[in-house]
Amino acid sequence: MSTTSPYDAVEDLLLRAMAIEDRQVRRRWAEELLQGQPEKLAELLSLTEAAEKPAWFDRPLKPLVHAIGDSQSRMGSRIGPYQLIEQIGAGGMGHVYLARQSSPVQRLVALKLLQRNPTDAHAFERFRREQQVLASLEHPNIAHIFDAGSADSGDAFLAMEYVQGSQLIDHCSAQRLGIRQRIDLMIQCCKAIQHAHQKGIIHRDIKPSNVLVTTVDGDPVVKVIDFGIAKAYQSDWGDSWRSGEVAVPGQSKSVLTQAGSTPGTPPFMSPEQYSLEGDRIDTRSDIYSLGALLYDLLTGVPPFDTQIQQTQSLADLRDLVQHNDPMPPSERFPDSAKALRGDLDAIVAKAMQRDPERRYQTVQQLAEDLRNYLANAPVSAHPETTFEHLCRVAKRNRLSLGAVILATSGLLAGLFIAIAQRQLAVRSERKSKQQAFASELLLASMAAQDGNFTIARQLLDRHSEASDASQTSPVAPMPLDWRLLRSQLPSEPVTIAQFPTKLYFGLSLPSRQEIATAGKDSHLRIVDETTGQLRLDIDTEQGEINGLAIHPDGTQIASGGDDGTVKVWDVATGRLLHHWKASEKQVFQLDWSSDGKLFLTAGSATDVAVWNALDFQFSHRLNSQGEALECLGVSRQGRAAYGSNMGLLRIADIDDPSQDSIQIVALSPSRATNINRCSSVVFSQSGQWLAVGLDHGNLVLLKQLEGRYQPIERIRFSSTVSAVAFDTTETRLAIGESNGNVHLLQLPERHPTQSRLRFTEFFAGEQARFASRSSGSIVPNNSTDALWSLIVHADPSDPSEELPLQCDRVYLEFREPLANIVCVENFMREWLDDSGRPNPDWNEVPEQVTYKGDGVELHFSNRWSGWSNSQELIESGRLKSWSGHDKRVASICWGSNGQAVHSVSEDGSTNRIHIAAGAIERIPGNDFYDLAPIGGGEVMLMKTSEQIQLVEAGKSRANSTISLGPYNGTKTPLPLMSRSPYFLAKQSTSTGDRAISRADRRTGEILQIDSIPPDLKIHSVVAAIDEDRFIVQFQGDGDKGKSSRPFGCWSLHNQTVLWRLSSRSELLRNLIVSPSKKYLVFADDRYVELVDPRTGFKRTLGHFPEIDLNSLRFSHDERYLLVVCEDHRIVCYRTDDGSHAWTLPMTGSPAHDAAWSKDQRTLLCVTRDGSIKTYDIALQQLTAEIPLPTRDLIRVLISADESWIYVLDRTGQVLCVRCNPLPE
Amino acid sequence: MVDGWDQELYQQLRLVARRFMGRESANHTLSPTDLFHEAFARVQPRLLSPAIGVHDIRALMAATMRRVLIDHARKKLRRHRKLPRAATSVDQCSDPLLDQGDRLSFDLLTLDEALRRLADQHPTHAQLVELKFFGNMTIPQCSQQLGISEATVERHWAFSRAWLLRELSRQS
Repeated sequence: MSTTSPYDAVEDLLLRAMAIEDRQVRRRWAEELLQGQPEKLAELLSLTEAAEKPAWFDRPLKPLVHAIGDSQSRMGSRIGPYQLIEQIGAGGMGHVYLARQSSPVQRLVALKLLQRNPTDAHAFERFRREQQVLASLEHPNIAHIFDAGSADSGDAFLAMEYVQGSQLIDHCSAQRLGIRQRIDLMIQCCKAIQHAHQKGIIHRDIKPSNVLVTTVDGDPVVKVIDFGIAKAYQSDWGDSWRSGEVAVPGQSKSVLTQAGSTPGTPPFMSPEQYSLEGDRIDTRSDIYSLGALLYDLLTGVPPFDTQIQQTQSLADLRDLVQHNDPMPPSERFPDSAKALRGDLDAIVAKAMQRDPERRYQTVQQLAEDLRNYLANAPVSAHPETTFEHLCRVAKRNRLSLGAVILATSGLLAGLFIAIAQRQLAVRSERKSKQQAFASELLLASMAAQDGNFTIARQLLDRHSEASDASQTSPVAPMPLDWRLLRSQLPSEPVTIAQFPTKLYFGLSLPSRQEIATAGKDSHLRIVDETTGQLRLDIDTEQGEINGLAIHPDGTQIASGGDDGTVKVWDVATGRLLHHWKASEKQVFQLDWSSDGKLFLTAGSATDVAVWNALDFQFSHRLNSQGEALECLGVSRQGRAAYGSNMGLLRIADIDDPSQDSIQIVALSPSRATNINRCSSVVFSQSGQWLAVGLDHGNLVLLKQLEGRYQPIERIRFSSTVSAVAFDTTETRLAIGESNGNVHLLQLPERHPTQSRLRFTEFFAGEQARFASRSSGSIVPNNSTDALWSLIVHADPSDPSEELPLQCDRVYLEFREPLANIVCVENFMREWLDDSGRPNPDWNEVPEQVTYKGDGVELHFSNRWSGWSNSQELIESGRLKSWSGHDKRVASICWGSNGQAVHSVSEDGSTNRIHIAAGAIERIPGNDFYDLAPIGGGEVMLMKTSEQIQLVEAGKSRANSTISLGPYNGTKTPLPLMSRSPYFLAKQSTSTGDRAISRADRRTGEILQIDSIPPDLKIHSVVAAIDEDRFIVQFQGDGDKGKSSRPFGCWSLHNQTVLWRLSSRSELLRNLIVSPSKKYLVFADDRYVELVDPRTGFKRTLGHFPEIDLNSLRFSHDERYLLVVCEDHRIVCYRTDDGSHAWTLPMTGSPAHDAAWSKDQRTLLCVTRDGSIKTYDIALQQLTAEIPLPTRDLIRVLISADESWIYVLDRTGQVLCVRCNPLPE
Repeated sequence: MVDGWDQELYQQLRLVARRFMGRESANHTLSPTDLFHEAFARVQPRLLSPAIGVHDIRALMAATMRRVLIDHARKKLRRHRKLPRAATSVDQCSDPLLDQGDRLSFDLLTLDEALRRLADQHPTHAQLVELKFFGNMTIPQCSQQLGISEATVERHWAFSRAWLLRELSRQS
């Protein structure tokens, strides 16, 4: 054996040793080989021993990484067909989420994610096999397991029935159940376990948290969850249990929750489970656990709870359980000793025998004894004495024995109980109905977000029908969340016409409210756009028709045929007016120029032919440089855009034959023929926008900037974008795909218009320093100035100020040789919108960097244009989608009223989609800073430009604008809930807000000014209670030295201070006056203070140290106050006694503001990530989430008639969101 | 373009950087992509050195991935105040309060320690483990990177694996 180094020898030996399978043989071989070298032998043997073990680092790193990250990040992510909604539980092995299954059925499931144990490669396989067996469990008391599998991260997941209910013990204490009712639940629990045992499945982890109680038809129903999960993971934990080093936390409660998913949970674990001799664990182990569960049910505490407090380790606990019986329930819980002593003590004791042989041998026996107890029959666990037997007989027959004596009182009591129970049942039935409703709303909301409107509609409409049918009393309006969701749904496509031919083109005839279609059978048909009634059917005898055009005046229609002819028809009569042969080849597309003087045709031949529209004589050509054309669009401004089969779009002035002005835009990086055809192109009415659909599902939006069309957005669809059409308002684009889908895209409101060069500060971290090695000096981090000082020359100059739109390369020359400077290419091009705001989404890094001399040349070519995905746009609310056709959408056009989209498809059908118009509208202007309700149902929108806009009840748009003034200083309106023709404003001067103005509501003119006398030392007016009383802040107390300002109530009429209170901080935040003027509430140094404005009586509701309070809101009846916290909580207090009512934890982005529905059933909040979320207040459950086309929502207001929701975002925009569905 | 750079790798890294900057980094958690981003960010400044070749980039990435991961593991445990008493191995730290991520973090820290000891005695072996596990490289890639035959890589790996496992079990 030749060796180069000692370890090579060992390495070789190891390899050879491991080739010997039998350990004994291997050992003998090694001993023989390494005789007299004990050290080497020991080394080899220790290595062979190690080599046999599985190594967790054999597996790829990627799936392990998730485990280091926090599980919180999973929210909203998708695992297989499941989308996680919120976390509903956590355990040692993984987390449980509420998730939505999208296929094959829509439903909510509880998804248990088991983080993959990297140290046990087999755990997952074992888990899977187990779950297949478990899926066979079918029992009403067992939460059904739907599915098990593995997520991309490598975690195992388990999808099971989502049980809406509470844990067993919580349910019992919440409902204050008596012993008999508790035993009823216990019997159900036994039934579930019995069923599993009959299938050979042992639960192994029966404990209160694994038993849920839900309500079905008013009756409590037990659902046992988490069957056999412990087993799958058992061996992972085996060593640790055996080593006995597990610290048991001092409190039994935490044992339950935190050691939650270990193989059994002390003290519900049977003694044999501690010893972990797997073969000794059988169904009787579950019986012990059931006994322990019964113990907990009867006494409210787990068995051994007092002793467990003293145990230090799992070993102690094991000793305790293996050598002791639990204290009998009657002794543990003396209050109920009478009821527990005897039978129930005996049943618990028998179930919890340490020796499995002495327990009940089947669950059936345990359940039987429980039933016997309820029926006052003898229980097997408790051999009774004659006296006890006599008592029992007496008890069983109590009613008949005592009938005479207790007739009256018994009857009354019985009646009372019956009524109470009925009320309970009715209440729980209502609650379960409510729960079903809330879940379906959430499902509908999710479906709508996915663009699955049909399902969303079905889910929602089911409830409206149900309420219409069942309501005998005046029809109760649907709750706000339902109405909000319903109004956001667009209608479904309706087929208005169907012809037995392939349609290749469709055109809207707006002046006649008709649609013209043509296709393979050479017929030109004109139908009514709403009814689809056929008015005109002309056989053009042109072969297949690929294109139609309407004369600008709407009287003539032209058809272009496969035979190269163009025919012009009278729209009204169908009479042939002109025809001529425009090409030897097919004519695809044709159109009149907007003045009607020229006529353009494009087809299989190259170039666009321009004809004189008076006599249809050839005029000139628009050059396509030999490329075959696929589509043609004509703008009202006299331009034509034509796309070739090489992915190039040409834009030319129609009447300019010189071709000097042709702009060529490359829309696709690839230049290969026929794989990047432009298949559709259209201009918007103003000519500002241009949309081009390409092969392979690509859509490019261009906008006219600096006289040229610049691509500003690129979107990928799933199939060729075959048709596009802008609406007349130029806010929406209708899109047709060759797979038959139709989409509606909200055009981007902001787009890049200017750019500049920036150093990417992201890299200026610990390692990124501009170090000049020659001088040894290090330029400080994050100092962009320092970087620019290293640059001696730049082309174009001052790129950090502005990079021209067209510029795609920047040259930077440095003061020192490149080798001496680190980070010379860490630049990016930052794009800004027309208002000068940068958007990180548009940033681009150089596509290429070239080194030249002492400088770098940065090449930018991607132009902020990462392709976005249609799915992302759907999620962000900008895209709505419908599937309606079986084949390619040939044309798409807007209906004459702008409310409907018509799609014409090769499947022969013409569909109409009624667009839910204005479901979300934007109020013009972007300098709003607050909204407030004012009297008469009006909403007041305040602008920083000292203007106010008023919105009438039930309207979305502002109906009037009032400017405050003319007046010196800045003025802020003081919203006031009154019907007076005035509203109030305060004036800010250099010394504070100390004047009150009364402005005319119609004109905004200042009518009267009341200055507050300076001797009162009032610093500012902060709110108006009514036209007389104002909340004012006084100047700070100089002597205290603190920056706090006392505040008080000042009467304008009496010119006196009515009351005065001290404050903790300088500024009272979130101050509002309740509508009835009964309460004043504000946050003062994170204390929420409630003040009676009449007396100045102050009460502190709560303190939120370190937490920002985003908003305070009263309920409509003013009995509740919401505190919207930055830490994802919404806390509700009762105003009458200041007590805490509930806390709603939010998932996802925190809320900034909230509003109550009038019925106080729905809570509506707006979040930082830009969505409206609604919660069912009674159930504390999320019911809907509606993403809005903006972010950072800071205010929300529901109009008085609840027909619109107004939201304000941080950029100063106000959006109106409809919440009264329009009749269709 | 600097000579000797792997165009494809360079483009990939670039793509990652672009995607990274287009995003808000509000997410405080770690995903494989984040990990890569972070590693890339740390490596990136050094990629510019004219002397660096494609082999160095890969090795650098693997080493950086390792460091980032270890940093995160340490941070995670520190955040939860769960840095172990004396024990460092997962088998040892059977505290039921630990979740899988914590356990893995322990594992990583232990492996890192062991790998450092391996590097003292057998530097090539340690580098191989780094490339294969932290750099996610295949046997042929490792072979190319280290300039040794694939058979030797396999042999080295088998040895390193046994060595590390022994080292890890000695810990307990």
